[in-house]
Amino acid sequence: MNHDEAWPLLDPLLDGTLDPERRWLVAAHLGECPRCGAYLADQARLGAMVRARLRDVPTPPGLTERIRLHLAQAEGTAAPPVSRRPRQLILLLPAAAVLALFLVGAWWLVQARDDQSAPALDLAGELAATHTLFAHDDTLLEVAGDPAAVAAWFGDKVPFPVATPDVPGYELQGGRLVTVDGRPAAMVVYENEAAQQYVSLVTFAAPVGDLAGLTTSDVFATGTQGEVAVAIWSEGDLRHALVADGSQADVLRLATAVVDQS
Amino acid sequence: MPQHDGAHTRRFEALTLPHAKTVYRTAYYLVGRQEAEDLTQETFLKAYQAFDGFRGPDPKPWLFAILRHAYLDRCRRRSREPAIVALDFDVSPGSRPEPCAPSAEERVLHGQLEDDVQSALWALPHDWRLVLLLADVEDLSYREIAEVMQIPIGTVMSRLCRARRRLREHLGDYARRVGYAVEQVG
Repeated sequence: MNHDEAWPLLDPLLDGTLDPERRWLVAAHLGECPRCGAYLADQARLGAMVRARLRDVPTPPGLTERIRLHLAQAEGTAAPPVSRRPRQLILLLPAAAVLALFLVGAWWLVQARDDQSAPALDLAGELAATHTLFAHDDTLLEVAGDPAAVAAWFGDKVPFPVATPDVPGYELQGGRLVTVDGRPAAMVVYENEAAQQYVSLVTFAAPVGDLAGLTTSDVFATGTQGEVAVAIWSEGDLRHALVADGSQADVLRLATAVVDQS
Repeated sequence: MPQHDGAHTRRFEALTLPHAKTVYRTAYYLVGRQEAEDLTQETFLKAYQAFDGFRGPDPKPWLFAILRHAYLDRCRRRSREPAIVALDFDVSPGSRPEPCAPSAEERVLHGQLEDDVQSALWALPHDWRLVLLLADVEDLSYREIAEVMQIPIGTVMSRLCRARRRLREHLGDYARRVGYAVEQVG
């Protein structure tokens, strides 16, 4: 390989995109071409200088302390509002597969932990946080489609059947795998597009003492966390939770409509 | 937000706060100095809310993924751009507006002093900028970047290649001025 042949390959070599055969040919050429060697050396030094310069961003004094303060303040208040979702739905199936493996692994880890050191379960809080974090952004959903397809997607991901009932006034958007008390749970999300309201239906295996601290009636256990209301009902060893931004009465009305379908 | 005991909060802080500077640095290059701390705070709050689900050994890629989501959320709120990064969107400069990024004038107005290197970085599309920062400044692997950006590894590599090349082109005059790379390849 002569200089004219090697010269246009230097940038691909730097970028790591040159195929092995040509990489070898260029490397052999470098030993006999000072011009190409000097270019590569300069680019390497320039890269190091750029890296050092970009790392040199002054951090505001007290940043860490302000983050701590922010967390402490938020711990005692409701989660901030989250933006509405865009209408475009992008599914992240490769990420979903990775997440599924991750969650199953996490479940086994949780099984092995020392339960005596675990904090008391705050089921309403956990469900509300899950809803706030995932329901408002459909890029975070892992599956979409008709109700049967969404239900089927959970088939090999959670050890219980998942239903996708109608929620009056809302349209099914999709679902994702989440955790409740560290174990895999199914989250199905519905949207009322006109009102920009979202409802999550979460199905999970009943954790020990999960309804402690909730208000219970014949059918439902209810609770609120900030502006998010939760209604939970039982089906054998399973729990279903309807979670939504809104009043407890609204959530109970929707939950009743869902229970009536079963 | 769920109420947690002190041990939970301390564990979160011990794992994540050592990365506050790197999260701030990346936020700085996404939204500029004026909003970087706000975006950093938002990232840590969201991370705290989701901490029960975190089981990985290294919180750094996880924090960057949350930062990216917080950034995209911010862009959506401003309704400047759909702000959804397609799985393999072939970005070319000028093909779409830059969401949330301050203009050069805004950066100067907010007292953001920058040199040729930083200006060249700001000239990159935000997707390229983030990939380059994660790879060359924060030392994430291709796989970790793919998870943060939710794109295939091949797309990470091609985006990184283009970003580095564009940066070199932007820095041509600067490099010559300081004695590097006096010739143009190609």
